[in-house]
Amino acid sequence: MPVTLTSLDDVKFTVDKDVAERSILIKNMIEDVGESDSPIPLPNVSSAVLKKVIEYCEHHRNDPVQVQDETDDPRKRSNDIEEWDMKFMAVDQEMLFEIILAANYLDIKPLLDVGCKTVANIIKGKTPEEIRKTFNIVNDFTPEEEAQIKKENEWAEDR
Amino acid sequence: MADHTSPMNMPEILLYVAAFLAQQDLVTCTSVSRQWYQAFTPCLWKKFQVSDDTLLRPTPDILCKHAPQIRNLTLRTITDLDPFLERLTNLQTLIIIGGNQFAKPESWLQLTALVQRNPRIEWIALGMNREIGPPASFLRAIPASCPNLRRYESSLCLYEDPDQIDALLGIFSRAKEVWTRYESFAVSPVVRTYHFPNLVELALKDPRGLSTSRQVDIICMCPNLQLLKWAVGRDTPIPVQEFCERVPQACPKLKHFHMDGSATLPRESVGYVLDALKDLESLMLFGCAIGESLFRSMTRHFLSLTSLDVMDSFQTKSSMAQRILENCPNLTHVSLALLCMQDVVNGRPWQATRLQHLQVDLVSLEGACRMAAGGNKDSRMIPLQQMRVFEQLSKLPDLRHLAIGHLKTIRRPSLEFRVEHGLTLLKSLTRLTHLSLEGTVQDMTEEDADWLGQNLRNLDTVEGRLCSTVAVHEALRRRLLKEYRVEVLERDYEMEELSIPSGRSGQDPSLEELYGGKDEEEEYSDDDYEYVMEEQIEYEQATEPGVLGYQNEYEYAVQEGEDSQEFQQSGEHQEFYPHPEPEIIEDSAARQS
Repeated sequence: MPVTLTSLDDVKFTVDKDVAERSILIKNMIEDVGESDSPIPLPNVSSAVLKKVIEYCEHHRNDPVQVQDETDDPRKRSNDIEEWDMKFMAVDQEMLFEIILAANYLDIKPLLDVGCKTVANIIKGKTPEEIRKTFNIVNDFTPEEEAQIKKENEWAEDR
Repeated sequence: MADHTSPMNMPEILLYVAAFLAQQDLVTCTSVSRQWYQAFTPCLWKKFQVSDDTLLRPTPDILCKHAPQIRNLTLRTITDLDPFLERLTNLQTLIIIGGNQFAKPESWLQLTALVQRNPRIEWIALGMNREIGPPASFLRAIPASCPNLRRYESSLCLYEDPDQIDALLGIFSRAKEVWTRYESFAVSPVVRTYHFPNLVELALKDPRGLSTSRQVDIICMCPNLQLLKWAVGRDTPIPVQEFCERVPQACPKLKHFHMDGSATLPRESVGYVLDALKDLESLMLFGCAIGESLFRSMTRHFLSLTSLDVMDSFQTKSSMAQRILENCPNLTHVSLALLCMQDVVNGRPWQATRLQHLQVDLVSLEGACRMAAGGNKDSRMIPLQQMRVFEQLSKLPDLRHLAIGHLKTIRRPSLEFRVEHGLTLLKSLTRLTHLSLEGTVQDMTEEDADWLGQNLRNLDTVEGRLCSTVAVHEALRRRLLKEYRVEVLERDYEMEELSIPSGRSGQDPSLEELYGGKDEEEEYSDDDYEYVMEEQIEYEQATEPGVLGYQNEYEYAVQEGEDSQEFQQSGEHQEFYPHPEPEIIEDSAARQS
């Protein structure tokens, strides 16, 4: 049975129920409301982003539900991005952020994972100044605070 | 985009990103902005190790400030740490490693108080020196204060009085996973009065003073056991009949069996044990002599096996490795010893198409002959054989980890990662992240390295020498790192360096340049306690008489059947499997201490 989703800018998308239910938020909404033809409003997601999100959900519609794995080797994990996902994430930074926000709001954990892995890969190897530049972040530390942090991190830095 | 909507300003998203970052990048992130400091600092302090060298640890005020953020703590001393210890309240994992630092009873009083202050502890690991062990009061505090206790590990601890052992078995009855390694028991417990219904994983690695029969008693008290790691000491007979009669009934859920150190066991006894267990999902045989009869017992589990490791067993034949790959359809992880490329070419296609992790000592006998004959590379037969092997590997689309060699000082001809030999067939291995060519002879060119970088998009590390010409290897290493962010590491460089005396004293600048600095950090910065514990245990083992002798028993059989005997005695065997020199082991032990 198809489900209709309405974006922030009032564009309607009709998708299969199993595709829409990759989003736990939507899945819960459907469960709460019951079978209904009325469209589901998603006031936090623009049509451009929703289109991307649906593309992701359609590609992954048959994926098994993700099991929480507690592997303590983060470095390895961020490199484990599927080829399709990697291409899917080859978007500008604004879209990447929008996708992350949408995945967070819609509660699509695997998509949030891929988004955050992509951000982690951007951060890797950069200096604090490069990171600020990349993400447009203002350095709001006082010189004293900077010195203090440097001291705190000493033990970790020379390993 | 306005900054306030950026996910880079949202603590919950930053926390999520942090999970994918390594230590060094986390450090960088804490110095980006105040908000990032708040978000990333807890991740940075989540796992912390207190060195016994005061110069190697933060000042007491920094330690105290961050103590509440620590979840996973490794303690190598508790001297002069009182205020810090008192502020630790959120521990989930507590690892205590040392020897004489924990000899005083007062230290255990402090550690007992620490456990009592941390009710969220799920995992406790102790590594001592065989002369010291946790007192009963400490052991009893664990189940009493930590309702979430999942795992208890203990290595080289001494359990000498009955009260202490009773307290230890009290932990056995609460925890889900208990791993013990090289413990010393001064008295043997009467086990039959206990019951361990929670235990799902149990490792009993060569406990001194606990007879194998008593060990079987312990195993039989675990009705929900799924994983058993069992290692018996040298020349210790295992009660085969008792095991076969009691364990399958007492532990009906046992699906994962790892047997270690059974070099001196008659191979039949391991075979009987495998016959008694039903439909194993994972099997690891370490230091076992695998002959035809034991192999036949293994075949009973072929349909159910998802994980198999027989790499460190000996007398495994190439044909066995090929038969395993042909006949185990559900394997995802496999580590095998020898596999001759000829057997892959002549054999049936592998049914093990779901492999994610493949480690096999893939040897080209033709290549070896070629080298022996003076290194003539011009042979048209070899690339065809290589192509067939590449073709077989290309049918493993889930492969993430591929290792085709074995760590040795002398590299052997193996599959050559050359475009002209069929490397491009591996295009289907898009998930591959780790490739090890360690122990093999490679002659890669820029074209071959570029192909790897461009086509295996998830590849992040390559281990081994890419080209036998050192300068070319270095150039390719830099190229892969710069152009494709693929790191090339060499694990066996240490051995080589040690084998060239001038290299150690720094008289050979090229070696110093090649192997200096970075790689060593990579190897030893890892504060993974598991690694440390293993090192410690290996050291213990190495310093015991007879253990080095055990190493000498590493035997591989290249030829089929009885020919293997001959091969082991030939000079060639010496060359391929040189016995480790004692000083190498001592050196590595000295460095870790």
